[in-house]
Formats: sequence, structure tokens, C-alpha cells
Amino acid sequence: MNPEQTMRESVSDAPPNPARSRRDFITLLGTTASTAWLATIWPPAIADSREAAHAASQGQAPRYRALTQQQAEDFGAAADRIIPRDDAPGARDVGVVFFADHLLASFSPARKPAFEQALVTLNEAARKRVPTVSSFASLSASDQDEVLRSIETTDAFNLLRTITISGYFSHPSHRGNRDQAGWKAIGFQDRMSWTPPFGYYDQPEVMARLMPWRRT
Amino acid sequence: MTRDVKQAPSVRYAPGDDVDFVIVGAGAAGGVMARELSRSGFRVVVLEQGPYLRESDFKHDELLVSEGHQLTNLPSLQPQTFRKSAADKAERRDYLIYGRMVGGGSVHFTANYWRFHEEDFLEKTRYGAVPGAALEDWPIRYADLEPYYSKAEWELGVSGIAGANPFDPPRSRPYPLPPLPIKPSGVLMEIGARKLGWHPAPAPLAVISKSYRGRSACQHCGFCELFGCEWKAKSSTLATMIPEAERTGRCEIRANSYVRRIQTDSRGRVTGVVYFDAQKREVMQRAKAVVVCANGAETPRLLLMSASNQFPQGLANSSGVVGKHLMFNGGAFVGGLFEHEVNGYKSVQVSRYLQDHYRLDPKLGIVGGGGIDMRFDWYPISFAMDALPTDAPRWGAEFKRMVREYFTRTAYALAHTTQLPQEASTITLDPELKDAWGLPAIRTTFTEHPNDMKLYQFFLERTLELQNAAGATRTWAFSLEAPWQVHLLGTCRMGNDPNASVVDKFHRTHDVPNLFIVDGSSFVTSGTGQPTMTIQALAFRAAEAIAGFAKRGEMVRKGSES
Repeated sequence: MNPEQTMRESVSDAPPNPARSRRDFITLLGTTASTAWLATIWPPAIADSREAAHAASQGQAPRYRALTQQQAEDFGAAADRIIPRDDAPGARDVGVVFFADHLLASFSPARKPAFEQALVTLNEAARKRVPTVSSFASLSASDQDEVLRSIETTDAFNLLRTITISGYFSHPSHRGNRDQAGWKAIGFQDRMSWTPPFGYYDQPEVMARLMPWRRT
Repeated sequence: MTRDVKQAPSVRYAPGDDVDFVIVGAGAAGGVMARELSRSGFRVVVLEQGPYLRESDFKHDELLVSEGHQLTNLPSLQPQTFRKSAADKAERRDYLIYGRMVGGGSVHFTANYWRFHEEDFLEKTRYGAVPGAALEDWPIRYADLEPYYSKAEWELGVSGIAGANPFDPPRSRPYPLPPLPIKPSGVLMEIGARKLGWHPAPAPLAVISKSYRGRSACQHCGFCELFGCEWKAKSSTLATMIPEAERTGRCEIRANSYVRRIQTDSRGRVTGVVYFDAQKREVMQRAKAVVVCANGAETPRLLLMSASNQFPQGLANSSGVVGKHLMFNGGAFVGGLFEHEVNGYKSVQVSRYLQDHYRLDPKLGIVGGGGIDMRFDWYPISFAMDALPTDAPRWGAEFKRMVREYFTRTAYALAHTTQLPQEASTITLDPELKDAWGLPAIRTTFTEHPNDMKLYQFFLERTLELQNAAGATRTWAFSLEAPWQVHLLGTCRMGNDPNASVVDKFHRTHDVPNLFIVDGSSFVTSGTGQPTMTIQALAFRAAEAIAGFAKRGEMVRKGSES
């Protein structure tokens, strides 16, 4: 009964399920003998996860460590136009805003100035299209698309796209790709072991038909 | 899941201990060198700038290896610059990617394991002088290296089938392990290549298809290229040579040790190396001889950083050739969409290859050649970022629809080719930019020779043909311009002439009798695309020679050759 598995319109920015998120980190850390090394890279990530878990257990609203609420809304709106919902979840549904917050707070803080500048560019483009609008997030979806189209060749857009795609498809320990929904959407499964046949063409009966020269 | 407990090093030397060898770099070549020299009875310290990771540190985590640079050089600490020619001002750009950990590039490489052919050692003889190219024959022949190619296959563990590729050069031994299972992309390649009259064969891979020398067989998880193998099935030096070196009790692997200078005495001999330890303290490790295995960029950089009054142009650089003739290997890359599931993300990236175009018909007027494989070397993030047809939407509903449709149904034809050596393509020290240790940044100066672009175009046409013959319902070509480079070759070339090369045919520097260089920098020409096996065969051969020099007391004076 994981609430994140249901796609709800307005609460898709809810923090990841604390039990699940903790389990991810326990799994991650439990399998490594050099926890010390990992901790040198990821201590903020661990703290981040604990903080998110705590907030959720207190029933508090999402709290971000690197993003302001407005930045979260603008980025989330853009991300949902870059990877919109179809019969698979959209970007916000799988937690890309939390991914971005985690990325900028702990994994790649050096990207933060460029990210903030990208949102400035986004909002400037939004006001160019609708001068009275307060933010990109408050535009209609079709206006958002037009705004993104107007900046789609810029570095600003490329960064927003990169972070959205990374959040949608990265390992769930980084707080995006919740419940592996991004992976499920494309048919990828993360496993330690596979056995042939791996797909259609290497099935024995298919190979016998397509590759008559092959001796079995 | 492998669960390794990090063992204490079997031996520790003090910096003042005058060990027999310091090896700089614990990668594809350095790992072989460490194992061979320590097993020959020598006391060895291996200095590696990166960390000592274990299989349990490896994750199926794309962000960790790309954004996090877990296994490679760190742009935030080791920035680089790039320019197309010496006339340009170099700009900040991280053009070169290399392994930065114990095991080096052999940990994250795709594990394609191709021998050079006989003609790869004789390209000047074959083509004569090519304007603008510094083509030379190697001072060794295929026959000199063949025993060590076989040795590499058996000592490291390589899967393949002898004789399956009709263009394969002669070999003295079969492969120790049978090929890995054919993948859907391999089936498609066989179908397409046979229609075109070409000769596809099981790809030789440094991945073990059955258990071998205490390691378990590949489990087909699919995370080879860019990743470390949790199963130890990829035959990296981390999984093979390094533990064997440590077990001798004579070899210390000293990770997080970033060498800044090779030290020489008043007689012009190497006395040791100076490095930064993990706390950025300078340490001098003494040694009777030094073997540099730091890769085709870091090796020339270290020699240039080791300039002194006695060696004003840089150590071992009386020829002025250090850093010149930089080569990478080029190629072409074409995607294909297929009707049914290909699922390229499972198992090793490559299961079939062909070498029908290893040397192009002289009538074409193009020097060199290449090989082709069919592969899938994307992961979910990189696929969505870059793998779709170049005219596909990059975001929005149709973009998402295509990523979902294409991920399991695409295969990619990749050609790997020659690149010609040119004097003007170089690794030098950036005059302004410094790394986080205050050392000069790597500056790359590189432009392809016009011949190379013709060669890539030839292979672009062949890879398109292959995709169409394989039944692709849609094909698309990627840019011929590489966004980054991983094969770092040619910058301390091997040769008989001390005025035109840096090392001799046994990898001893012409200028300094107890300094050796063994890595991709030794290459005289680039071969056609997969350099790792030749780097490791050279290392096995050089180790045998160097051990002989040391045992015969030929470190002080350079035998009969000088």
C-alpha cells in the first residue's frame, strides 16, 4: 500500500515513502564492505534520506534542502512537460523534484548556480510569452510547451532536460525513479543475472529459422 | 554477490626503502607489470592515483559512474583543456576519460579483446609516406608479440573461438574459454553481414564464459561498459593480476597516490618518484627503477612535469617526441530499430564482430581500416539522453513514446578504425590551468587527419548497409565527431631511433637506463580500434625483458645497445 504508487494530481511531490527509502540505503550500505569510502561520497545523501523520512513521519509538507518552494514548482512543471504522464507516470510522479534537490544538495552541488540560472531563464521566457504571469509553473500546459520550445536550444533547457531524464531513470537510491517506475516504463529491469534467450531473435526456434547456417 | 573484505596489503614498504621497482599506475598495463615483476622475485610498489575499490563497491548506478565519476578521472579536481591546433587558445574541456582506480581502464572497459594483425606493425612499409602523417613501422613484429597475446588470453581469461574470424592472425594457442552466448544483436548482425557476404564471428571478450581460476562465469547482468563487474567475470587487472601480485608478499599496491615527479640523480638516473598521498602530503618513494604505466595522457604529462636542469625538455625527451603523435581510434555509429525485442541491455555489450574491412582496398585511396560490431552500450539515462534518432523530439509526449518504444528494440552498429599519427596532435602541459594539487592541467591538441574523416565516412556507409541488411525498420547515423576520447595512444612512441622515439623495443627510455614506459603511449600506430589487448601483451613482453635486465644488472648501463 505504497501511496506513491497511486498517481495523484497535486501530491506527486510527496517525499518518498520513508520505510522504502531507508530500506534502499540499508541495502546499499549493507552490501558494501567499504562503507567508509561510500560515506565519503554520500554522507549528505544519508542525512538527506533521514531528514525526509523524519519529515514524512511528522506529516510535514515536502522540505527541500537545495531548492526553494518556487524553484521546486517551476522545475517540476518543466519536468512534467519534458517527460509528461501517459499510461506511465510523469516526471513529478516518480520524484524528479526530490531527485533534483538531492542532486544539488549533496551529489553535485557545483551544478546549483547553473540550475538556478536555468530557472531564471525559464521564467524570463515565461514572462515574454505572458507578461502578467507570476511564474512558469502558473502557465497552462500548452503555454509551458511554447515557452520550453522557445528556449529548447539553450544550455538552460539542456540542463533542465538532463536533470529530468536523470531523475526519471537513475537508480532509485537517488530519490527519483520511484518504485523503478521510469525503468518499468521502458522495459528495463535491474537484475544481477540473466539467462538466454535475452530477447526475441536469440530464441532457439527463431535462430533455427533465421540462421539456417547455424548448427545447433 | 561477491563479498570481498578488503585485505590488508601483504607487504608495506617505507618510502626510504630502495625497492626494486616503482610502477606508476595500476591499470591494464601496470597490473600486469606488478604481477609479473613481483612473481619474478622483485620488490614492487605500485602507485595509483585513484582509490582501491572492491567488487562490493560496484553498483548498477549510472549516476555514480557518470555524474559521480566513481571509476574515472575527476573533472572537478583534474580539469583539462582542449584545442584543435597549436594556433588556437586551448579552452576548458574534459576531452579525455581514463580509469582512475586500482585496475584502471581494465575495470570499466567493454572488454573487446582484439589482437593486432601482422600489418598493423608495418603500416609505413605498406603505405609509404602519407603527407601530414608520421607513419612508422613498429620496431617489433606480430611474431614478437604473439606469444604474449596468447599469454594475456590465458593469464587474464578471455572467451572466444579460434579460427571463427577468417581474418584473425596466426595464433599459437586456442582461447582458454568458449565464446559467450549470442545475443539478439549478434543474431541480427549475422543475418545482415552474411547477406552482404561478410564474415561475422563470435567477439573475443575479456569476460569469462565459464568459471576460471577461482572466478565465477559471467551472469549476463549487462553492466560491463563504464561499470565494474560485481561478479569478477570481467578479467580486469583488479580481478586477476593485482591479487596475484599481492599474494607474492613482495608487491604493495598504494592507492590514492598521485605521482607528480620522477626524481633523477646527477648521473641522469632515476632514483624514485615524488607523489602526493591521500592527505596531499608529498612523499618520495625510492626505487632502483621506475616503470610508468599511467596511460597515453598522464604518462607524457608526468615526463614533462619531471623536467630538470639536466632534462630541460622533460624527462626522457631529448627527442622532443614526448606527448606527440596522440591517437585515439575513430569510427562510425549507426542505430537501427527492429520489429521484435532485442533487449540489448542484457548480457555483455557485444557478441559478434567482423573484420572484413580491416585493410581497405588500395584503390579507394584510404589508409587504414577497421572492424565492426553490433552492440547496445546504453543504460536508461544515457539512452533517453542520446540514443534516439538525431531528428527525434528531445522532450515531450512523442519523445517519451519513442524512448519507451525504442529501448528494447534497438541495436547499434559500431565501427572502430585507424587514426593516423600526426606530429601536431599532442598532450602538453597547460601553461595556465592547474589541477587541485597545483600541477599543470593536461592540454590536448587534436585534429583528425583528412584521411581519417574519409575512413569514418567509408565505415558510416558500411554500418548503414549492415543495419539495413539486418532488417532494421529505421536507421540513423550519429555524428562522426567524438564528444570525448578513451583510447589514449602514441604519445611516447616506441622505436629504434633515439631521435625519433621515446622508448626502445623493450620499453626502456632511450635517455634513462632505469626508466621504462609501458602503456598505450608506446603505440607507434593506432591499430584498428581495440587497444587494450595489445597494451597488455606489450606489458607481459616488457615485464619479461625488464626482469631480465634487472637480474643481469643492466639497469645501470644500458647493455650493448648504447
